[in-house]
Amino acid sequence: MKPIDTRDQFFDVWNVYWPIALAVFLLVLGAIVFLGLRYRSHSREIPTGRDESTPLEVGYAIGLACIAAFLVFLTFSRMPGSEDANATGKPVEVRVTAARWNWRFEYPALGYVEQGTRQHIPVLRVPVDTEIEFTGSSLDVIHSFFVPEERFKRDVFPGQHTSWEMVFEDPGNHVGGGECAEFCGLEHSNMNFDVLVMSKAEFTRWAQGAS
Amino acid sequence: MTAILSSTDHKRLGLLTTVTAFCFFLIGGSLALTMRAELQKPGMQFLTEHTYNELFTMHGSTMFYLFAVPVVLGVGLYFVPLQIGAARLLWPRMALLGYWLFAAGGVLMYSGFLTQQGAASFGWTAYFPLSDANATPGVGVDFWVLAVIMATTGGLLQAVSLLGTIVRLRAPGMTMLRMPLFTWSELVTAFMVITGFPVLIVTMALLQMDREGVGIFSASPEGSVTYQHLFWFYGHPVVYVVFFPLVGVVGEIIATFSRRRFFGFRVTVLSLIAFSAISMAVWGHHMFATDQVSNRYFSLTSTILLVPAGIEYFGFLATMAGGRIRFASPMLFAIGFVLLFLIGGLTGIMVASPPLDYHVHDTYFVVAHFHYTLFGGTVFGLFAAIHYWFPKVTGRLLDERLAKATFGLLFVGALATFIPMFILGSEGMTRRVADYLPLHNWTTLNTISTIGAFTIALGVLVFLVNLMRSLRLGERVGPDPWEGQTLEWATTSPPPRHNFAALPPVRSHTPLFDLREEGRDPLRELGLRRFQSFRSSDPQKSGNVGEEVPA
Repeated sequence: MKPIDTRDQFFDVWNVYWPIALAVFLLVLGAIVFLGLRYRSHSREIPTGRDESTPLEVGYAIGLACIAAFLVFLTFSRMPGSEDANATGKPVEVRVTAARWNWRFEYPALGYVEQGTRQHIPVLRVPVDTEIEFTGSSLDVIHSFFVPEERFKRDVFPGQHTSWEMVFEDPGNHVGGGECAEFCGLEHSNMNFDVLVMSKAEFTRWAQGAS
Repeated sequence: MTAILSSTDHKRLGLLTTVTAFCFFLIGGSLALTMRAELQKPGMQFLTEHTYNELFTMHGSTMFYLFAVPVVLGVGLYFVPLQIGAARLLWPRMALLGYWLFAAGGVLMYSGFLTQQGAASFGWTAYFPLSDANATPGVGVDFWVLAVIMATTGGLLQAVSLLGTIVRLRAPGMTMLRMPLFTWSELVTAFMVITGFPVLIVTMALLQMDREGVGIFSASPEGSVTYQHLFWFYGHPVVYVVFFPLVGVVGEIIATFSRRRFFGFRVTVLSLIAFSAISMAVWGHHMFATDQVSNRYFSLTSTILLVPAGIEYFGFLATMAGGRIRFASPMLFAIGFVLLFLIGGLTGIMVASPPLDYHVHDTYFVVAHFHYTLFGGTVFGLFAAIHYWFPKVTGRLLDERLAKATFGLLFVGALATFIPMFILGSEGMTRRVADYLPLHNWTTLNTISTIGAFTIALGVLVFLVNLMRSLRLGERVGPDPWEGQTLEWATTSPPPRHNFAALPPVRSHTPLFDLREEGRDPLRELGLRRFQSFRSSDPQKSGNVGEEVPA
């Protein structure tokens, strides 16, 4: 089974949701402007006209329910989500440990540990187009492992292990490409990490040196 | 002063609650301005991280616990008895106790700033274990927990009093389906308060016990998730608590200023009930990123909310269609509410979808989303209500030009402040950060947002000037300056101690409109014509112009 592409998963839904949202907003805005101009009046006369219409209201409610059903269907179809066609090779396992206010990334297969300190912003090194299996935990409060570029975050809890998979597709060094998204106290805003996405060959070379 | 603080008259109590809550709005707003000034560019300019964390915690806590909840209940305490033709509240002393608890809770929460370790600094949600005694020690935090218990209990007592009033004290002829939209929305709100608030009160008590060393949430690693469930079981209904009553007000304003009944009244009532019922089952959408809730279930329930919400929007538009629309200031604020809340609602449907939420959760996208519901919804709705009912409460009109200036500044400010936040959030700027890295190039958007925030502040300032001026110099008006449809307009402005000398027959949810539709003059029939001293050269300002001179 191919791993989930979190970014595709996001855009599959996003690219349908936002045009609908924009269309609805413009429709309501247009309706208000039109009705405001059309029915603006200084007359004190009470207008005639019905103030209830069951068929109209029921029809409208059914229309709304259809939209809701469509959105829910689309969302569910992307959970667990679209698969990554490019991902190949053996998955890489990374253990994420968060503690106020830094990150540690362990590669059990390599025996390598990347520990962030006050002086050293930790770097998450991953091979491109490869499934990364994360296991996350926290040593103190709740943190959240967030990589905006991949459109994904997952909370990590003290005393619990959560796991998730990601695939990174943009080679290069993404400085500040990872953040803690769950407020965790005094220096929450400094709890960043860099994401270094390497080519597979590069990663293998680095892994040999690291282990 | 003592007379005001101890009065069980629902009008005094309602006004007192509303004014106190509005003061907290001003304080909470100035905290936000301070934060926006700090965030304008990267680097810490004049705040420390600790102070920043106190500020956003107290901003959120103030706006929910001390402003939004009390203000919607306060407006309800004033106007629900009037709308249902009652002379008083049921259990008024309990409602008064509710006020004291809320006000004292507010003072207690802010006195956290006087303690050595400062006020609470873990966000208004107080997620565990960040809120335990190790991660966030200090007596100021204990104050915060107790203050939340007090303010929330206060709101609960006031909601119970409102519910009792609506059930027991309706005027003869006023069946449930003849209650005005605002009263209906307060009734549904009271139910949500009664269901959700006790859970928060107990959760906060448990949290404090845990802080004192009793193992509650700390007893197992799952405790932190349990806390989130309990908190959001209160926390999601509460965002509708602070929104529903304003839907009611805005619906009535649109109907009144379109000179017709609200379109689809019964289906709107039904949609409010359905909305509130579903709203008790959506809390888990705050927890998608934990991966420890049933994401599909909560995504389904949250998305379905668009059906009742859409029905309400249809009612707003269909009421305007075919009406005779006057664009006085209450109507402008009502339209502002409809448009700005729509942005919050549409983005709300987005965050209800887990694949989208995995990205935008806990970023500025969500901050923007809920500010369109809370600022665009609650605050614009409140300003609509204030401009609509100010003449009823004071017997004077607010100045229309200043009111329109307020509207313009608030509307532009709301767009400038929060639209950039959608982009910042999509680009990965997380919420609750005191600072951000220069390399992200977020300075321009943050600067626009900061300018927007100060535009809002200017708008609020203009409003305060208008308020002060109009309390003394505002044009005097009689019982019914807008040609209202509901019973609060069937008495003098301000209403006497026992509210009504006489009541018109109640045959629908718009008793005054019914009479006018039959060509009758409600004020003359009620013997109120002599109070209608208001005259104006601008027919748009007032309904009752010209024909009738005070007898």
